[in-house]
Amino acid sequence: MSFLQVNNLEVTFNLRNNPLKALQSISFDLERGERLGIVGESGAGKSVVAFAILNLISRPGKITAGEVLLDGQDLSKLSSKEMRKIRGNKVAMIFQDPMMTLNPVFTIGDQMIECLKAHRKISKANAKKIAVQKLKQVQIPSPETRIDQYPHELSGGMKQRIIIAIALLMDPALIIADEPTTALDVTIQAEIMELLLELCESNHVALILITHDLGVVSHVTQKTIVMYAGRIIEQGPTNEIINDAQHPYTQGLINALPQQTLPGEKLNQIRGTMPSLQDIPTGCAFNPRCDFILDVCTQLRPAFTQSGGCSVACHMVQAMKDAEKGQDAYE
Amino acid sequence: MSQNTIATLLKMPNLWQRLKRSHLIHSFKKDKVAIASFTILMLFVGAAILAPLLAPFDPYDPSTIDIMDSELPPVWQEESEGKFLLGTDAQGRDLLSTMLYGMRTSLLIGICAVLLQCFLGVVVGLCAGYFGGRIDSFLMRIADIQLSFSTLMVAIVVLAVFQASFGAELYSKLALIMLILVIGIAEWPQYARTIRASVLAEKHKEYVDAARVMGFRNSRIMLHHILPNTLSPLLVISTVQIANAIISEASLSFLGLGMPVSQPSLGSLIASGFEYIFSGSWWISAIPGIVLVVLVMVINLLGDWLRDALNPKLYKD
Repeated sequence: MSFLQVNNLEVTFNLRNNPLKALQSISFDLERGERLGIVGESGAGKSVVAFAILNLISRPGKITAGEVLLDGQDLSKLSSKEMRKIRGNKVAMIFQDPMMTLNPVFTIGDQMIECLKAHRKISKANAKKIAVQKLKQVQIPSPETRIDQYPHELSGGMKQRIIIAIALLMDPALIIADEPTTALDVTIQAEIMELLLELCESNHVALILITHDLGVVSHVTQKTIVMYAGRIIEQGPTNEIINDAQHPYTQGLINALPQQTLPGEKLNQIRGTMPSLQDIPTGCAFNPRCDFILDVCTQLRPAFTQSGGCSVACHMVQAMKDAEKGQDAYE
Repeated sequence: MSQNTIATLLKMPNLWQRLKRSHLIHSFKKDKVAIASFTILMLFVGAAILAPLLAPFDPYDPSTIDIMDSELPPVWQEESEGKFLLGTDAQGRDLLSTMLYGMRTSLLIGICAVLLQCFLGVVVGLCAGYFGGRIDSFLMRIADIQLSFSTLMVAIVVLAVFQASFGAELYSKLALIMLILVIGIAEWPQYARTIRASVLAEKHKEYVDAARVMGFRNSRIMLHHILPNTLSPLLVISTVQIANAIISEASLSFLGLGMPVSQPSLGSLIASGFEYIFSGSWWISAIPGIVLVVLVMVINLLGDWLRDALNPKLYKD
C-alpha cells in the first residue's frame, strides 16, 4: 500500500450545463519521502491535480470519479471537518506567487502562530518558539526580528522561504509545491529549490512538484508525470523520461529547452497550442500538433504501453513495441 | 546613529510607535484641511460628550426653564441677557445648552445608526461575496430592493405608522432607538455592496487559497483573513455614512418625525425655531443650522482626506 494513491481521478467543471472534464483517469502513487514531478503546458490540469488531492476544487468544479487514498483513507469522501484536519497538517501546499500567498495585513509570526493554533492546542509562546525554529530551518537570518515583520517588508525569496516554513510548521508527510519558483528571480530559484529538496530529504517528506521547468524536475524528483489536456500521457522514473522520452509531446518539451539549441539558433518549439477543454480532438488529444501522426491517432484514444520503466499513451510507441514483439516472435 | 538607536529601531515597535510612523499619520500632518477638520470635529465631539459639564443650563430640567426668558437674542444683540450666551428658544431654554445636548443626540444617532448599518452590511456583504452563487444573488436582490426605497421615505412611513399606532407619548420615549433602527436598516446596502465588491476582489487572491489549504474554517477565513483586507473602503464609506445619518436624522426631526421637542437634536432645534424666523428670532434656527452644516462638512472633509490617504495609487511621496 503506497502512502498516496490516486486512482482514476476525474474532475468535471459544469459550465452552463456543459460539463468539461478538466482531469480524466489520473492514476499515480507516491511512497513516503518520494518526490514526484508533474509537468505540462499551462492549462494541462497540473494545478487541478493538486487541488483535487486536497479536495479543494471550487465550484463549479467537482471530483466526479476516482479516489485519493492517503494512508488508505479516501480523502474525496471525508467530511469538510475531517478534511480540514488533513489540510495544512498532514498535507501542506506551497503556491506560485509568494507576494500573494501571505496575508498582507498580518505579521509573519501572526500567520504562523494562527496556523499552529488551528491544528494543535498550544500556547502562544510555544507556538512562537516553533515558528522561530522553523524560520531557522529555512535559513532566515535573525528570525526573532523577522517574525514581527509584515510581508511587504521582505523580499520575494525571503517570502517564499517563509511560505516553506509555514508549510513545514505541522511536520506534514506530503508537500505539494505548485510552481514554487516561477515568480522568483533566476538566481533565487535555484536556492529555493535546493532548500526545498534538502528539507524534504532531511524530514523524509514526500513532495509533489508542479512545474514547467524540466530542468528542475530532473534535478529534484525521482518520478515524473507528463500531462496534456487533462490526462497523463507519460509517466515513469524521471531519468528515463528526461533521457529517453517516448511520447512525441515529452520529446517536444525536452527539445524546447534552451540547452538543446546552439547559441544564435531559434528554439525548437512545439507548434500550435494546447486545445481548450471544450474542443479536445477525438483520438489522441495531441494529434493536431504531432509530427508522427498515424491514421489511428485521429480516431482512437491511445492506451498505455509499457516502455522500459515508463508507461506511455501513444499509438506510435505502441506500434513500435508491437513491431519489436513481432520481430522477436519472428526470430 | 549610535549602535543603541539602531538596536531600538530594529526592535519590535509597539502599536503607538508604529502608528506614529505610518503613512496615514504622515499624510495627516501634511494636510492642513484634514488637521483643521479633525480639530473642529474633536471640539464638537468633546463638547457633546462633556455637555452636562459645559452647558450653563440643563435643558431637560423643566424647573430651570422660565417661559418669560423665551426668544431672547444672543448677547451681541440689543435686549439680550448676559446669562444666555446664544440667546434662548421659544420655550425659554438656553440655546447654547440645548445645542450642546442636541449635538450629543445627533452624534449618538449618527454613530449608532452607522454601527448598525456597518454590522448588517458587513455580514451580508461578506456572505454574498464569499459564498457567491445563489446566496449572493438572493442577498444582493434584497439589497437592491432596500436601495430602491429612499431612506427618508422608509423612515417617514415607519415612524409615522409607529407614532399613529402607539401614540406620541410612547414614541417620544423610544424616539432615539427608533431613529437609530430606521436609519440603520434603511442604509445597510451601501455597506453590503462595498464589502461585497472588495471581497470578490480579495477572495481570488492566493492568500485565501493558502488559508484554505492550511485547513482554516470558512468563518475564520472570512472574518480573520478577508475582512481586515477590506477595511479601507469600509472606513471611507463610514465617514460619509455618519454625515448622511446625521443629515437624515435632522431632516426627519425637521419634518416632525424625529426627536421630540423635549429631547432636542440639532434637527428638531432647527425645526422648532423655523416658525419664529419671520418674527425676527432668526437665531433659534440659524445657529444650530450653522453648527449642523459645519459638523457634516468637517466629517465629509475628513472622509475625503481618508479616501486619498488610504489609496496607494495616490501616494505622492
